[in-house]
Amino acid sequence: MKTILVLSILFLSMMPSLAASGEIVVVANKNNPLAALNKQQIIDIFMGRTKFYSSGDRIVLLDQEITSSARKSFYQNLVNKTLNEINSYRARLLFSGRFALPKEVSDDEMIKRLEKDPNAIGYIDADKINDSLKVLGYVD
Amino acid sequence: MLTKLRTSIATRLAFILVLAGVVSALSTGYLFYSYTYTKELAQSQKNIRQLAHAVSQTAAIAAYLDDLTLAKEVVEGVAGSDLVKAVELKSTQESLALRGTMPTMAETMNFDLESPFSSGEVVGKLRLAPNIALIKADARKAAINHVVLISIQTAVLTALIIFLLNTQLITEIKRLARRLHNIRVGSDQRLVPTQSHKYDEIGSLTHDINELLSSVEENINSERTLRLEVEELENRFRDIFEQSSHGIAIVDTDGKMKLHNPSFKNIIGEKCFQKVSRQDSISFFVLFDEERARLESAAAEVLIKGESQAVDIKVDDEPGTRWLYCLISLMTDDEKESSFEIVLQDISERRNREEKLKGQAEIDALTNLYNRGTGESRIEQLISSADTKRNLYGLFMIDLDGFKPVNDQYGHEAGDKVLIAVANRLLSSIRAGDIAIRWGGDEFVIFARLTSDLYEASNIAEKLLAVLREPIECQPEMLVTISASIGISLYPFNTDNVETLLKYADLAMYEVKSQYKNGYNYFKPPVFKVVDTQNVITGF
Repeated sequence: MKTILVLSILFLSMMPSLAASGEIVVVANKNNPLAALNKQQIIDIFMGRTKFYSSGDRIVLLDQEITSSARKSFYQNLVNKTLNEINSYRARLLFSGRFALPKEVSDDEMIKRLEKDPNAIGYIDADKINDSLKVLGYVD
Repeated sequence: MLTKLRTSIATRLAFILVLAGVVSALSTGYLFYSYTYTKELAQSQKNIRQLAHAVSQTAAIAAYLDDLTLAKEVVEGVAGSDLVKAVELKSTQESLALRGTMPTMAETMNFDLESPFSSGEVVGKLRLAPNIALIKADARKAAINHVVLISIQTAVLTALIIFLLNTQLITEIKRLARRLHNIRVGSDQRLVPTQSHKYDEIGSLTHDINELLSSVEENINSERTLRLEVEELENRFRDIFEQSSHGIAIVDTDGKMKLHNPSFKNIIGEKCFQKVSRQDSISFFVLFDEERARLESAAAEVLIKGESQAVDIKVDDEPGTRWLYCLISLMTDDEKESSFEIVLQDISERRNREEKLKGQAEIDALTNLYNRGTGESRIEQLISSADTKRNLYGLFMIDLDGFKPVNDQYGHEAGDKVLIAVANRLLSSIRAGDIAIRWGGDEFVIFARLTSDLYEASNIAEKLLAVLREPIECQPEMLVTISASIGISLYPFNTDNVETLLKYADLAMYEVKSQYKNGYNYFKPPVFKVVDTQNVITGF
């Protein structure tokens, strides 16, 4: 199962253009140290478990705006939780001080920041990506 | 106390109730204790589990993120409960937070923590060490409280029951018992029913006791009346018995005397009474030697026939000869034992008078002639009167020949007819003033006046012999012929003493009788004068 999943991710990452329209993908700067991510890795990153790259640099997370449908469906597909649940979870982590809330940005701002910061990771509609970005994984 | 238990229902009931209360409190107490204790222990475990559940999500997040701060927060929160004495939150690799001293795995309650995002992935473990000492102490305390409550409740209930029993029942029963104890049986005292118990069991008991008392009083009264009546009757009967002029005695079938009245003693005489009243007394029936056979046969007759028998007995002792009328009856008492009732009456006086009257009778009942005594005194009167002193008389002693065979052959009735016929013929053969006497048996005496001379006596004798020889009808169609031997003595020729005159006639008659009969003979004076009369007789 795991092998199939890895294979499929590799396959998909080699053919970004094949991504279906309206599909949300995890994206980063072309120079991001990470290659492809499976779903568990994506969860660990976005839920605060994985905070650093192996180089020691901090992972900078980017969120879509709270009202966007992309954000809603991203988390729904990723951990099967509503936005309220996600907010509640993150609020709990805030007290320990070891988690910073991701910056909320629009699609354009997302792309702009990803292009600028190779340590940033975000998610966006597959239609919006350009050549300066790379797809790290899919959530479906 | 022990005595009270026996004599007082209230004490006994109270004792039993208290005992039952204690036993019930102990047994239910024990059951409730174990139940409550177990339940409290289980409840504590449940509470711990709920506590763990309450923090499980946060704990899971802490374990997922290896977040020490969050883990510490969770552990502190749980440790705040008295139920746990140690808490530890572990991620898969390391211990994130620990509070208290954690005992071995076996003594702790362990809860697996699942990843908040992917089900089935265990990201850590929450370990809780229950504060067993405290839990047990709490459980014990709760159980003891429960038992104490039950004991108090039982005690209150027992006290209430005892109080109610006392006021509702025991007091009333005591009152009844005391009142009943003081009532004299047979009097008109009664129990007074209490208003509050009028219609219940105590009321009905009171009513029934009163009924019983009434019936007892009635019985006693009627018995008293009856006893008085019986006493009066008894006295009357005793008076009759004691004062009766008849001698009354009860003797058993062996003749032993059982009861007697004073008259009985007087009538049979002191001497006889001594014999029958002694301890080793002799039978009443053998008391009078001479009359023993008659008394005994009468008694036997009474026993066989069951009818009373009367016997006249002659008693010949102190204070003289007496005649007693003795009535013997059979009586059977309640126990079916037979006794004789003997009634004695002294009839000596009556008997003597009868004897005397019999002696004084002038006429022989059968023949209507003078009897011997009267005849003899008539002759005396006749010869002692002055104007007859110089008259001549012949005394004829007549003895019938052949009378005895008639009597034997045809019976007494026939004999009596012959005697009557003889008497009538003798009467018709003599003159008025002459005396005809039935001397006894078949002997007759004629004392007739001789108007001419001594030889007239021969004519009279011839005439008598002739009439007596005529046949006599002694039975219908049955004629008999008898004759007579006649001895004649002459007054005053032979003697002027009547007694001697009779003796001489008798002697003369005897001569005829012994030699030829059917004839007459004069008395012949003796040839020699002798003094001894016996020699006179043998001198013929």
